[in-house]
Amino acid sequence: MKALLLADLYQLWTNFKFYAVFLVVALGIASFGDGDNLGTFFPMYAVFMCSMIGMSLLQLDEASRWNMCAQTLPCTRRDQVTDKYALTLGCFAATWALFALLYVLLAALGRMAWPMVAVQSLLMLAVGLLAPSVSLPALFRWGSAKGRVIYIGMVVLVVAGVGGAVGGLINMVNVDLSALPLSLIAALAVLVPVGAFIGSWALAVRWYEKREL
Amino acid sequence: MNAIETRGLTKTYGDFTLGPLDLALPGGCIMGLVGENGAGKTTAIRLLLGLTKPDGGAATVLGAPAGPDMRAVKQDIGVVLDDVGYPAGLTATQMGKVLSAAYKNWDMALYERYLHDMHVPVDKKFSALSRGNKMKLGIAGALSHKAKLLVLDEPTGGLDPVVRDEVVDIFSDFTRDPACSILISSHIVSDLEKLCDYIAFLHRGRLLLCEEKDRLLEEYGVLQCDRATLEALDPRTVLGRRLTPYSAEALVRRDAAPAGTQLRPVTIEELFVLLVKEDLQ
Repeated sequence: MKALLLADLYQLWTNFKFYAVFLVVALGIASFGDGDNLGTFFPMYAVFMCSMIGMSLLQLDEASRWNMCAQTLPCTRRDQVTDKYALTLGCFAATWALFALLYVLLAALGRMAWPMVAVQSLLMLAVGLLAPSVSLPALFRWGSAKGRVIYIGMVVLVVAGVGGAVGGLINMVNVDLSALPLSLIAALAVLVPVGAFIGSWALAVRWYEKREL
Repeated sequence: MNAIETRGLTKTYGDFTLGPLDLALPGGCIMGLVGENGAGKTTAIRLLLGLTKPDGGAATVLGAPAGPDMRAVKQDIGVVLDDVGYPAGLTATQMGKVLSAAYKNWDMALYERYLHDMHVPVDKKFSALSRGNKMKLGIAGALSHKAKLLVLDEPTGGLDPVVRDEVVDIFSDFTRDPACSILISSHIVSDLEKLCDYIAFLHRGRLLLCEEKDRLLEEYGVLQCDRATLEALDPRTVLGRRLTPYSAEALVRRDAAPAGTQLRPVTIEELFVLLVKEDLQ
């Protein structure tokens, strides 16, 4: 798998240098926001973009047929999937850490409320892990052309389905969200994206091992 | 031990079926897989490398069953696919580092020597290389980790005749070691004629024959005659024919040819073309 990671790092350097520039710009804009509204869009967009890097690399692999060639090396399909997930996680972790550090600094300087640091960090975690959790299995199962379309459809279904189900459940059992302990909400906000990411990896391995290339 | 062995290997894609394929490549030998475009050469290679699941039959490669769990045995296999398939943004130097991370026996000095000898630009992105240079880079990659088996899918396609000759010499050198074998597919039959010990003919997914090259050349001959003589021959002895307005040629088994007839030697290319044409009729 070391070989696959190395190939992807070279590809990353060649094709995604612009992302580093965008990240600097997004950090700059976020640091010059005002109060608790420190440009949520740019941090979220940066995290979303970096979470899509694995997907873009997979598309490049398919275009050059490296996905096929890599299987002639002493690597398994499981390695190929794990490589993309590891890379996505690495890129996300780096981006998340930079923004989290910025938020902590801003809070220490009194320009951001501490609870907002937690909320923004948890939101970034959710966006950064849930987006690839949906996109990567679709791409590994159906390939980049079909997979992208299916991914968009799945996002719509997941957002509508989960939103509807959670809303309905809350109404049904008459839950007052504000009454829930913050520690429980925080724990769920961490565990759900992390669990989804791990489950997504297992599903992608299973699907990719069965796929006819 | 046979480097490659298949028994009743089959694969179906829509209306195309490959096989049943029964092949045996003894260790230390070179087998050429000859066939027209779409004959099933690439599918056969994919099945052997475990890239595709067969619908029936089985194959072993270097003694291990072909399939998705070939990780260990792939350390001993060098592969060049028909389009090589290296990542578009990587240079030859970077690709060497990637491959050195994949293979335990990677020899960087040997890889660099191949690149130098074959004049492959080391700092150009793979996507910017010509088809010939891409193929040469793929060949350097396949030869630099002390593989015991080379599996090459159309490796001489896109190479000019001089480089093709050099590459064929490199492959010949590779099998000087009696533990090393090559399976090579091509429709440039002249390359295979120079190189191979065994020839397997594939046509529309079917294995027409698989035989030692020297034996093929000994067993078959071409009878040059007029049309009337050709018509008079027992149809069972005629394996292929070529008719012109003035003469006729028939591919026959030497032992079944009418007594007293003069046969000229057949080339592998002629053998293939005549067999396929007969099969089409």
